[in-house]
Amino acid sequence: MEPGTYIPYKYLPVFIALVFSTIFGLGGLLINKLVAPRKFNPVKFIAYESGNLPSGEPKERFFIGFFLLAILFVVFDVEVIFLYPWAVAFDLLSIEGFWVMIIFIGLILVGYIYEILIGALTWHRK
Amino acid sequence: MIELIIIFIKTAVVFGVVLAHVAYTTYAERKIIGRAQARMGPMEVGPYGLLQPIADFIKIFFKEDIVPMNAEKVLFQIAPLIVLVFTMINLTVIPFDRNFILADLNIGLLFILASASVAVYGIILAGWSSNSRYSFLGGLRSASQVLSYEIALGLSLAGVVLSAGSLNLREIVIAQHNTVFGVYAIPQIIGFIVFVISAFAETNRAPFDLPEAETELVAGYLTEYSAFRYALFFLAEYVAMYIMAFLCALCFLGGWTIPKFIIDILPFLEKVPGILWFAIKVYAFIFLYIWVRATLPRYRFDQLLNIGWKVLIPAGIVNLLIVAFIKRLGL
Amino acid sequence: MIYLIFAYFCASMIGITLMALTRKNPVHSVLWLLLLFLHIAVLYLFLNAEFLAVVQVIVYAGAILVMFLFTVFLLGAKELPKGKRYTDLPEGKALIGLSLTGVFIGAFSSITTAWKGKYTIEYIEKIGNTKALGVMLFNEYPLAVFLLGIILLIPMIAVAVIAWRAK
Repeated sequence: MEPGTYIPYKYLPVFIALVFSTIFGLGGLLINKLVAPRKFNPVKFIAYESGNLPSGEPKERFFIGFFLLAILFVVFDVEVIFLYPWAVAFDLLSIEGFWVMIIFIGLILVGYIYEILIGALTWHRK
Repeated sequence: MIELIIIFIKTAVVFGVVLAHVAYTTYAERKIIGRAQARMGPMEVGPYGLLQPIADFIKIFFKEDIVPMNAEKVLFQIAPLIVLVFTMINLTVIPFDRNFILADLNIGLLFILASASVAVYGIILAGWSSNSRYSFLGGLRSASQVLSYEIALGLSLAGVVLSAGSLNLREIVIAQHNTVFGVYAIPQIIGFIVFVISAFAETNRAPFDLPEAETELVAGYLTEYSAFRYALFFLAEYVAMYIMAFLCALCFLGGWTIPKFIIDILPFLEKVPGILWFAIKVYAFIFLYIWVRATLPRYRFDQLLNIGWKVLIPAGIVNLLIVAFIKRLGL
Repeated sequence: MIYLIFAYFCASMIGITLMALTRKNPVHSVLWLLLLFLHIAVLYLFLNAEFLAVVQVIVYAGAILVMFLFTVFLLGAKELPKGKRYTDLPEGKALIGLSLTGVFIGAFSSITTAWKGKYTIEYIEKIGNTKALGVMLFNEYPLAVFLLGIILLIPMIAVAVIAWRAK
């Protein structure tokens, strides 16, 4: 095939499903807006805190644990992504292809055990 | 042009069937949990309460849609749509039978993981745009839970991909049919258990449903949502349950096939259409979801993250290494 | 047909990038970036690189951008002050314009065709994109994978330091 002329026709049902589900969601919301009652009462619009008034800005005191979790998630996600081509091409790999991935998993395991021993994977209740 | 119309009709049929199943799963859940707690579920609407989902569906349109005072209007409205759209496009890559698949992608399995990765944004945005401290915290907790268990999900599925040699879901089922046991759940039992536990955590279902528990942070990121937006979140949750059930049935339980050693004993079972076996496996997994919800208590958030990071990831890696070494040594 | 599709992608990607650069609320910028990454992933599909498309969504849009979003939440940046951004000064505008021009000149003048390797197009079409990628990556470049394992240890050390200091 010539470069620059490939259209991935196999993905067309995915695009149609995207359009269908968006129309379904928006259509339902539209029907809801037309049919539902709308009585204005100022108490309804305050954020719910079991009867108390809202206690402050939502962006105070972001726990650092969430951020560390996101970084560790990036590392392990990249590792899992590297596992997939290795797993698919497993029958055609040579000796060094197989063992380099075992060494890669070993390196990740070393880092992982280090994280557990340091205590970065334990969620502290603050 | 005619293929386009056929694709439209097939997509509409698949969506319609799955949405009808979702509606009746809510009914089945209330009935089964009711029976597990020694009471009848819904019995009023229609015979044995069978019209209950239709009544609920019509009722939800008549509820008032409240958008809180300081919420970001646009993001508040988009968040449920993101979760719903990226959960429903997974339905296009599932092979329901030997020849019935909407989009036969060569990377079908990773496509499901990719859309699960994007659906996390809907949860974070729902929590953040409600402009309430508890919703935000609930959204972050729920998102952290989904992220942690996504790694375990990826590791357990990597074992299946290694055995099958392809990412195409149809080829995984066919490769599975050609093995000795006929299902991947038996030789990769550790991977199967890791997958089932991760499936429970990915869909925010019991026993990992801390963000939705009513005694903790009210309802987490869902607190400020009402009427049809709330229904969209729950629709997305039940469709995600079905996607996990589909994945389990395809990757670990044999899809539309039954193992060869059973066909040798009872040859008449081969005449049964494949989609019936698929439906039985999916229904069994959904029943497992409901049964676990009725039975097990809820985990605390730090216990939840501990399981995801410290137990499931080593188990997934051990499973992968066992499968890799067995396949390499040619056993 | 293909020209219409490429025209849509050109217009939309430049438009989305401009929207991402000019939003006052940093969370909105991150969300426009998410839309941009989804467009890039679809563009990879048109180049017959389907594995790269899903890797773009899973790793870049699904992991790295979530980390960006958590960073924005951590810093608590609500709105950037108006008038003090460097893009409002004439030096800022000139810098951006010149660097963009440099990038475009560099990109258009370095287009060459690669030499033929031992993986022909028919081979890749026969065994599929992911399998060819795996075969090439692990057979020909094992050292790169090993170095990547070492590189992935660096954020783990950083996380350990932050966690140990936060205790």
